[in-house]
Amino acid sequence: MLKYKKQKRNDLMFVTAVILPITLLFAFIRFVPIAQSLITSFYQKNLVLRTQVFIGIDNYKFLLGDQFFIKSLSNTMFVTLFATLFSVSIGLLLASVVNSVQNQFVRLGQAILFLPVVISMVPATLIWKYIFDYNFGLLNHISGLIGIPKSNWLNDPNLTRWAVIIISTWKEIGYNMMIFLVGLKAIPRELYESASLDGAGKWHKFWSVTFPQLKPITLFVIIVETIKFVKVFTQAIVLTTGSQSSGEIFYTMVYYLYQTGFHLRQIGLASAASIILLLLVMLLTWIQMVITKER
Amino acid sequence: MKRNRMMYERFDLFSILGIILFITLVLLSLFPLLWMLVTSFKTLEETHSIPPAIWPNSLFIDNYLNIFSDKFFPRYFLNSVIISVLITVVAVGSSVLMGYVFAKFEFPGKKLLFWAILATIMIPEEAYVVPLYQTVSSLKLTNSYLGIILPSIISSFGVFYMKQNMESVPNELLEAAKIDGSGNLNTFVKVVVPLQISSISVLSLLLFLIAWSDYLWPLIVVSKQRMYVLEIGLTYLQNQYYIDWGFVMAGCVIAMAPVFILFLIARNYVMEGIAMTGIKG
Repeated sequence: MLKYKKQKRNDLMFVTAVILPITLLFAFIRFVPIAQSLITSFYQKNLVLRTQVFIGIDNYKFLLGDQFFIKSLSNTMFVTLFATLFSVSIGLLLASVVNSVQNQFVRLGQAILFLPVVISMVPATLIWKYIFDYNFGLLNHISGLIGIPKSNWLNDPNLTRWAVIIISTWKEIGYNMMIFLVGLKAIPRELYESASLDGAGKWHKFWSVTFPQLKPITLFVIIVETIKFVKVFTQAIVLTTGSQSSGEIFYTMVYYLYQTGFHLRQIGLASAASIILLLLVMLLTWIQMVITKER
Repeated sequence: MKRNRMMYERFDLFSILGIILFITLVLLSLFPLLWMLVTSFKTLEETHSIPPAIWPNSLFIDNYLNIFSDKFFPRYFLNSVIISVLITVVAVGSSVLMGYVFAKFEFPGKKLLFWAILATIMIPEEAYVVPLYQTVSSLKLTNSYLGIILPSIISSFGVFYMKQNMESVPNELLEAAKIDGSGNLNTFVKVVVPLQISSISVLSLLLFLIAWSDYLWPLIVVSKQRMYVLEIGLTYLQNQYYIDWGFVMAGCVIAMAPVFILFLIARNYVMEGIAMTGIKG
């Protein structure tokens, strides 16, 4: 009995020693800052002028009327839409090929397709920045060979967004392929066999068996990619800053947040922008959870 | 019979088209990385020639020599290593401990705390960097290792992941250790951790890769060049007036090397880690 009590006390000490400091850390660098973000978004707070005035939802009103914010919002949406579309559909295509042919060359190819996923975004973007370079880039050279005039990929926001989409797609197809492969492997063989008995060809099998079976995982991949791409920032800033030969700044939501918060030092406004981003991500996560539950 | 043969041929055509597509996309994926490698051996004249020189005239290694003798670059590399290792060690350690306690002990408020931590998984770093920067700045921690690692030394996902894995540790084993008179810390180190080596490895690799590629927070919190990490330092290899691409690409090769090596020796762990979370990217 005495021993049992001692054991209880030891457990309590162990649990307290683990939970207490780590929970405080969570509070200090997660819970509190998140709450502060929300609160600050209702204040006009400028670090340079050192002012702090409660202004209600004026920051949000300002954002929705600010052409730069609207621009960054539309740039982000554009990139998210197409990068998700391309990376998910190419990932699915590749996964179906890999799933039907299994040999060591295919496995090597799989590993190569995964390389862009593991490398970090800054060097990845720098490589592409050279390829997109107006004067010395390979892309303009190749398009020149087939008679297309040089394009100013990094100076024209309408083209820069395609550059960002290409980099993002390149970096994500390996990831999507792998998730789809997991989904494809989970489809019961019997479904294909009974489809074969019904005389279904390969294309027909894809539409009648594979596609419906993959629907939940496709939705999952779409949401995961959307959440990644609404936070697009590194590609945009590295492509368009750093040298005079870099072009016109390409604003995304996170870029806007970074610019207003850390260059213009308008903390209240930046917080409001971050809350809008947060709401967007939470909405997407919620959709993802509903879908996952249905599975 | 004839019908069967036709189906077989159709199957073949699809396979061939599929394989051609696969090979094309593999080459397209690989090409930028090869181009980086080739470019890193080119002179300034070669990278700035029109049309671009596809292959360097000779094996020009000055870019690498310049990178290594750069006033700051070796320091960026060292900073990245120190920061990523510190983050990985602390974040994995705290995740493993928290996961174990959540899985195997009862205490008041456990459910609430677990859900609060779980909820922060979905909250992106971007949503709270502004107030966090103010806190770090008021503590005078900008331009310090502690300030750079601070937001990443705990991982909500890590806690969640380790809790899931710790559930599989058999209770009988823990009871037996208890009866043998083993203290909680001793049981944790000698029984629990060895059982979880593979999940701990997966988490470590994942958190290291995330730390290695972190860009936004170091960009905000560091202003002194000697405290830059590689991700920031690489962008400063671009000259104000022109970009020496061979030099920049050599820097990129060096910055990617540790990640490549990790991927080569532990591909399955890396892929498993990244697949589970979808965090990185």
